[in-house]
Parts: sequence; C-alpha cells; structure tokens
Amino acid sequence: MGGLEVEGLRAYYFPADRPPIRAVDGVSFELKGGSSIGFVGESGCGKSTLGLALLRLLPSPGRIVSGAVRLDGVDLMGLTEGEFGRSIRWRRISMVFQGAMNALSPVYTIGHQLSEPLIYRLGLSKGEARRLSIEALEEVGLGGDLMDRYPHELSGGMRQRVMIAMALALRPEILIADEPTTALDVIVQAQILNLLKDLRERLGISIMLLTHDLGVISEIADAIAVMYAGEIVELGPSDLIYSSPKHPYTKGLMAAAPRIRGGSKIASIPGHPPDLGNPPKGCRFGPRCSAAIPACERPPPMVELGAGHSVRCWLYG
Amino acid sequence: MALKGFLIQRALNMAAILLITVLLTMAILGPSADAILKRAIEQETRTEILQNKELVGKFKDPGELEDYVKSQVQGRISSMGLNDPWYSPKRLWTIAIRVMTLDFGQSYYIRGYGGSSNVRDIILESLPRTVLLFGTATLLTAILGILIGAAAAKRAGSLLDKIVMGYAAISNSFPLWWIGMLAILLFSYTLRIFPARATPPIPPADPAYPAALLYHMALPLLTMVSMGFGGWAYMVRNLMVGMLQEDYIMVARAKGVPEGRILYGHALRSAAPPIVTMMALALSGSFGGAMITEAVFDWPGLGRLYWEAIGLLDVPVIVGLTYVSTLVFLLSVFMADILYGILDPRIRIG
Repeated sequence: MGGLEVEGLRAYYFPADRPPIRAVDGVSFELKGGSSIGFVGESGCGKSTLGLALLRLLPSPGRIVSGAVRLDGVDLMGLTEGEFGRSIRWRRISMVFQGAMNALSPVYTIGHQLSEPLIYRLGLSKGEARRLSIEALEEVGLGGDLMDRYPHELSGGMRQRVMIAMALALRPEILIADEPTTALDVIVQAQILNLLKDLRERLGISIMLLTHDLGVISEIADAIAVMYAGEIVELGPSDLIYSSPKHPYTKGLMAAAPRIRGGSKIASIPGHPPDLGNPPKGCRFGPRCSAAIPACERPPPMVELGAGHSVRCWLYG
Repeated sequence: MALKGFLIQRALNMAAILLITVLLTMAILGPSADAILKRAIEQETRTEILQNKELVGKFKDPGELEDYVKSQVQGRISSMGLNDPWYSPKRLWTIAIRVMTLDFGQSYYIRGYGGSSNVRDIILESLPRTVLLFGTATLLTAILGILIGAAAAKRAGSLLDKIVMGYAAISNSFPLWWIGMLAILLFSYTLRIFPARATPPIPPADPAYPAALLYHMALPLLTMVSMGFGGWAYMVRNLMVGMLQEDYIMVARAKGVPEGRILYGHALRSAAPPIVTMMALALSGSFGGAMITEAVFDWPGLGRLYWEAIGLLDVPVIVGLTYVSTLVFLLSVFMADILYGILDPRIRIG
C-alpha cells in the first residue's frame, strides 16, 4: 500500500504575457509503500510545485501538462477533480505545507481546524470529529488541551506538530512534507524529524520529503532525488548519493553544506539557477558547471549507474 | 481582570475626549456666540418695553427710560448666566458638567416639532430618523459591498472583477450630493416615482406617518447604497485577494472545506478587523457627517438640524449635536474593538 509511481510529470505555470514557466519538467520516480524519498534542491527548483501537482493543488496559472501518476497501480490522472478530491486528496495523499506559521488559519481554534477534514471528508459528527482530533493531537505528542487554543498561542514546533496531526487525520498512505522544519530552531527540527520517522514506523506511511537541507534528508530518506531547474538530476539510495555523489550539482550541494569541524570557508556554486521560462537548450546546469564538456550543449539523458542510482549527466553517458 | 482594567481605561479615555470636545466647541463658538446672544437679548427687551405704551408713559425723561431698559437687559443677561465671560472657569465648568450629563439646556431659536425648545428633546427627535436612514444605508452598503467584493476576489481578473472595480472607481468619483440632485431630477420630476422632498408632508403624530416616512426614504436610500457599495466592494476585494493567497486557504481547500466556507469563513474572517473598522467609522461618520446629503434630500435628521443650527448660530444645539456625534463615534469605535476580539482571536484581550 502507498506505492506511488510518477512518470514524466510536467507542471508549468502559464503567465499571461510570458513564456510558460517549466517548474516541473519531466520528473519520474517511484516511492515504494512504507519507504521515504527526499527531494533536495535550492529554492525555485520545482520541489514545492511537484508536491502541489501531486495533490492537484497548483495555484493558478499553474497546471499539469503531461505525465502519469499511479497510486498502487491505479492511474490518478484519469480521475475528475471531484473524484480526486473525495477519494485521494488528504485521504490517501496528504501534505504538510511549507511554513508552519501560515498553514494554520489564525481565526479558528486548533480543534476546529483539525475537525474540518473529518467532518467534510468523512462526514463525521462534530463530537466524533472532536474525539478523533484529540487522538490525532496525542499521536503527535501534544495534549487534547490544545483543542480550544488558537495558532498564535502555540510555539512554532507545536504548530508544525498540529499541521502534521491535521495531515494524518484521515490516515493517508503517503505524506508529502514540504520544508517541514524550515524556520524552526535546530532542537525543534530534530524533534519534528524524529516524530516523522516515528510516525512512518508506527503507521507504515510513505513519506516524500521536500527540502533544501541535505541534513534533514539524511535523517529520514531511504532514497534521494536531487532536483535542479525542474528536473531530477540525480536519483538513488541515500547512502550511495552521500558516499559517492556523481552529478556535479550534487557534489556542489554536498560541498556547500556546513560541517561543524569543517574548518575553512563553505564552498558555494557560482552563478544562479536558470530562468525556468527560458532554460538553457542543453544541460540546465551546464552554464554553472565546472566540469562542462562540449556535449553539454545537448540535453543529457538519465544514465543508469546500477543499484537504482541514475544521473542526468554527459560525463557518465 | 485584564478585561475590567481595559474597560475602565476605555471609559476614562472616552470621558476625557468628550470633555475636550465640549471645551473646544465652547472655545470656537463662545466669543461670537456671546456677543450675538447679548445683542439679541437687548434688541428683544427694548422692543418689548417700547411696545408697552402704558409702561413707556410712566417715564417722563427719555434718559430714565433708557436706564430702565439697560437695567432690564442686564437683569435678563445675568439671569441667563451670561454675566461672566464665556471663558470663565465657572461658566465652562457648569456647561461641561451639564453637557456631559446630556443636559444641553434650551435652544436660542430652533424649536422641535412639538414646539419644545429643550435641546435634548430636539436632538432626540432627529436622531432616530438619521439612524433609520443612514444606519440602514450603511448596513446595506456594507453587506452588498462585502458580498460583491468577496465574489470579485474569488474570481480576481475575471470580467465580473473588472466590472466591479470599474464601477467602484466611477461611483466613488461622483459627489453624493450631485448624484442626489440628478436622482431627484430623474425620479421625482421626470419619472415621478419618488417624492422630491424626503420629509413627509403630514405631522409625525399621524398613523400614516411611518409608512410615508419609509416611502420618502426610498430615494435617498437607493442613491446612497448604489453610490456607496462600489467603494466597499473595492476595499473588501483587495483585502481578500491577499487573504486567499495565504497558505491556510490552500490547506483548507486540501482538507475538503467547501468553497463557500473558505470564502466567507476562513478568508473573510481573517480580513474582518479592517472591515469592522470601516463599518464602525462609516456608521458613526454617517450620523454626524451627513449634513449635505440630508440637506439635498431634505431629510429631517441630525445633519439638517446641524445645518440649521450653524446657520442660526444656535450654540446649545451645536454643542449638543457635537457632543452626541462624538459620543456616537466613540461608542462605535469601542464596539469595533470588542468585535475585533470576537472575530480575530489574536486581538483578544485577557
């Protein structure tokens, strides 16, 4: 249960007066039931768009252009919006949104917000929804006394726990967590990550983690997908990616991560990510790549390196 | 405990503002009003005495008569408490205390419909009419504006949105009194649907009066609402376009909350504090500041009374009206503060 297959997914934004922004441009990956995959990349690489596209929540003017999404072998793209809303969104695939601060409505109590999916999706009575909401709070390590409190009365970590409880309220099989620890301090970050790990083990959910932080990924993910400019540039088991990164961008990311005893300066990758409305013709990382060769003028293929490890780079093709 | 402290603090605050209002009004009106009033008393007394042939006959010497007139004038001035200059602490203090306990004294010239010269009675006669017309107009304007603004925000960039925004800009650019005149011209003189004067031509005691008043109210009400809701829609639309982009709106949508609930629950409630402020200010502002509108439509409310009182320099009426409109304003702001807390828990006190 909870196996997700994504094939050639493209999700673009269509601004009125500019060429389309190809935020997710041909992404393919597989998430096995009960496992976890981490998407890492800098802001603007398309990870949030990927998450929203899988939930069909792309804000206007964004939409899915092509690709296949299968959940336990069943094609989700063929479902109408109504069917998807009733049977998939939040019930089988759910999401912890970026920014614990803004994902909770400031004017409703925690209890009200936790009850909403139970009432509107499962048709439970208010009393039942309340009982289940208290259980959900307890599951993420909070007390039922929070039910009548408002988000502004809670700390950032508590809010993120509430958000996770809300995402798990309908017992989904897949949880997409978009930057779940950003804007939290390190200790709370660790607590939230432990909570996610613990929930994965107890509930058997699959987790798809979207983050810019390699450290966060290493805590949870069985597999890592490195995203750059709307594409997956390297995909593989996390220990392989950590021990022997192949793509020049992945290597750059590793070098850019601070280490406690690292000593000297943190390395950075020169240049900026490309404009996704007009990306480079060849390799999208080419203009910033120190290892670029003439072949990089053409789009590189995804090269299989074995053991589930693949890389989108001419150096290996 | 915190709430009690808050209430006490607000009450003291309001009392201080009211006191300052009364003193300022006196300072503005005092000097000229005193002089005019004294001259009027002198004129009145002199005419009264000179018309009394029997009394005049008793005086042989014109000088003696003049002295008698002067003493009579002086007597009346001191009996009205006008002996001390307007700025004397005794007079100011007496007036302040009286005004603050809603005792505005007798008007100089203006009379109520029953002939009363008690300023409080005169004001209480006009107040309900103003509340009836402007309260109804403001509420209708706000509700219409909120509903249309929310609908436009939901479809930002659509044809409906563009029409609403265009209408808001146009309707807000026309002064209400001018549109009012055009409306009277069109509906009263050309189409003959509504009466031109908003004051019913029958006495208030007549049983048909309430119905007549409502009929006469229709034209000013329609004019105000149709000219007013555009601005509201514009403001609500812009506030809500921002709110609808918040993450929690997307979360609510993902959780399966119905669109109507998202729009009028999550989004509108977050936008409530500025909207409630607008509503409170519009309500209280309309009670005092509708002078020109009431004059154009000849509506017998506070605005028209204010207008008359200023024209006649009827100081007690002006002071009373200023005090009442300040009081209404302060109470509306206070109620808005209380409402904020109910609508938005972040502002709640205690």
